[in-house]
Amino acid sequence: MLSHYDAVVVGAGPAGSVAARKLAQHGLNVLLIEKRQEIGVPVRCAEAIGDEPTRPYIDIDPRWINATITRYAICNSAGDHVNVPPAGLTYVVDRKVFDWELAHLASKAGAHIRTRTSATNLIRENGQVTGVRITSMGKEYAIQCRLVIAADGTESQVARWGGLNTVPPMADFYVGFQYLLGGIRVDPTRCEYHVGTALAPGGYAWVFPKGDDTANVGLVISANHAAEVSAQTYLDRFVARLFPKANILGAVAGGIPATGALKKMVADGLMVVGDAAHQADPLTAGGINLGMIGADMAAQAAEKAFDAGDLSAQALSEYEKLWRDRFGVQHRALYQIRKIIASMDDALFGKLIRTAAQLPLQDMGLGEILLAVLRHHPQLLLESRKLITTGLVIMK
Amino acid sequence: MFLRQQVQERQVVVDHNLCFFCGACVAICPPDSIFLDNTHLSIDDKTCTRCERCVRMCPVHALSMEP
Ligand SMILES: Cc1cc2nc3c(=O)[nH]c(=O)nc-3n(C[C@H](O)[C@H](O)[C@H](O)COP(=O)(O)OP(=O)(O)OC[C@H]3O[C@@H](n4cnc5c(N)ncnc54)[C@H](O)[C@@H]3O)c2cc1C
Ligand code: SF4
Ligand code: SF4
Repeated sequence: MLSHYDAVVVGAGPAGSVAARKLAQHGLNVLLIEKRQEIGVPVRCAEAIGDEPTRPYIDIDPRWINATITRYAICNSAGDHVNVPPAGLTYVVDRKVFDWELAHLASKAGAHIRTRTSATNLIRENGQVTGVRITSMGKEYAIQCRLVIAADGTESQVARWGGLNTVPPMADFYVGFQYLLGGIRVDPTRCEYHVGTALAPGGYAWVFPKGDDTANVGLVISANHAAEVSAQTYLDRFVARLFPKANILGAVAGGIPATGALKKMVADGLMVVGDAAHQADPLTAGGINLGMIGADMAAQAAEKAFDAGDLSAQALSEYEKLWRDRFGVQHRALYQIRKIIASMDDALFGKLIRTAAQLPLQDMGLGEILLAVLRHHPQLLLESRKLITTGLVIMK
Repeated sequence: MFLRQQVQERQVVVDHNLCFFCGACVAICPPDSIFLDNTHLSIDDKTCTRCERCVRMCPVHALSMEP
């Protein structure tokens, strides 16, 4: 470990490893630090990623694929379900191996990596970030650098130290709990989403197979619905109903912001990526692919800023523009869809599922599906106005 | 005066047997009063505003306001 770097990346999740690799490939001196003693462990995730958005960042490798998903089902507690055509192949992966491989690629590109090494504060001069204080294997260091990339996940403190407001409203924060269940029977090609106010208020439950006898079974609820009954208790009820005889091979807790990305993701000498920047999908809370894309965009803007010798917030803000142009409208719409689903009662949701189940979904585009559903449920028209005002061009 | 003291004496307490060290509470604490090491969680009484957000949302209800 040196005392000076061009860039220090804090957090070796998918976002941090991609950012570190891209910057190192640009010829910059990069340090990637991770507070855990081992990269990827413990897993805090349901481990579903898309094939197409993953390909730019890592070669698809059977060593980290546990299941290949070709079908999705949306279900409610009354037993209704609809099979939704897939938007593309999905993999349920082993994130221990996946995250490790991504860090390995950063290492191969020349980044220095240290685990059991935490950022403890930023060093700033006249507001400009000029370094980061770290504790590495119990020893303290002050590392000088021109850019810090905060990739420190949901619990991100680095961005706050840099003066950015990252605290989400409770209604836009998902809290989750998950078991890795064994000794069950599941279809290894199908992911299930379960929705219902009694089941997971403000959120949903999932069954993501990792084989034909194991699955990540978990749920998220909205943080403002978690006071009386915990996410864990909601999940225990769900598991008792669906998999009463299952073995528990692992347990995971966590939180994910569902706000859509922060408006301000840069400061002077600082960029924020991945969950730390709230880049997860505001409907499903999936953040692995989006975090890697966000890190890539940040690296693109940072490379230009280094080439121009200007690491001010102004120069780095091209990153925010890249993100907004690609995801701004889409994520605002997904956010609204979550709000609409959360305000629906279970009876209406059941009707929607039954309506959709009658449609030849495999032959229909999203716009046609929505129109057909609206024809059957005109009361939803009112809600759909919100979607249209967010700018979602449904018929595209 | 007496009331205020009572309010201030209430503290967020973590049950380390329940906590998963997941960091969700760190994310939603407005004054950044929660500190998470890999397997240790602590709360800064001096900056905590007793808003109870963390207590209400913890996925395993490992936090409580005491007494
Ligand atoms: C229950 C649950 C299920 C989920 N399921 C899915 C899913 O199926 N698909 C999906 O796409 N997403 C899912 N997500 C979200 C997904 O896990 C995250 O979006 C993703 O991990 C974000 O990647 P990241 O690199 O931004 O952050 P992380 O993967 O969280 O990595 C951040 C890293 O920073 C480290 N760190 C934190 N602070 C410091 C510090 N001070 N110094 C040094 N290092 C630090 C952490 O130890 C961590 O390793 C799920 C989340 C939860 C909680
Ligand atoms: S949210 Fe709960 S389980 Fe997670 S770190 Fe905080 S106290 Fe522990
Ligand atoms: S009560 Fe509020 S201020 Fe205190 S630790 Fe919890 S979230 Fe932070």
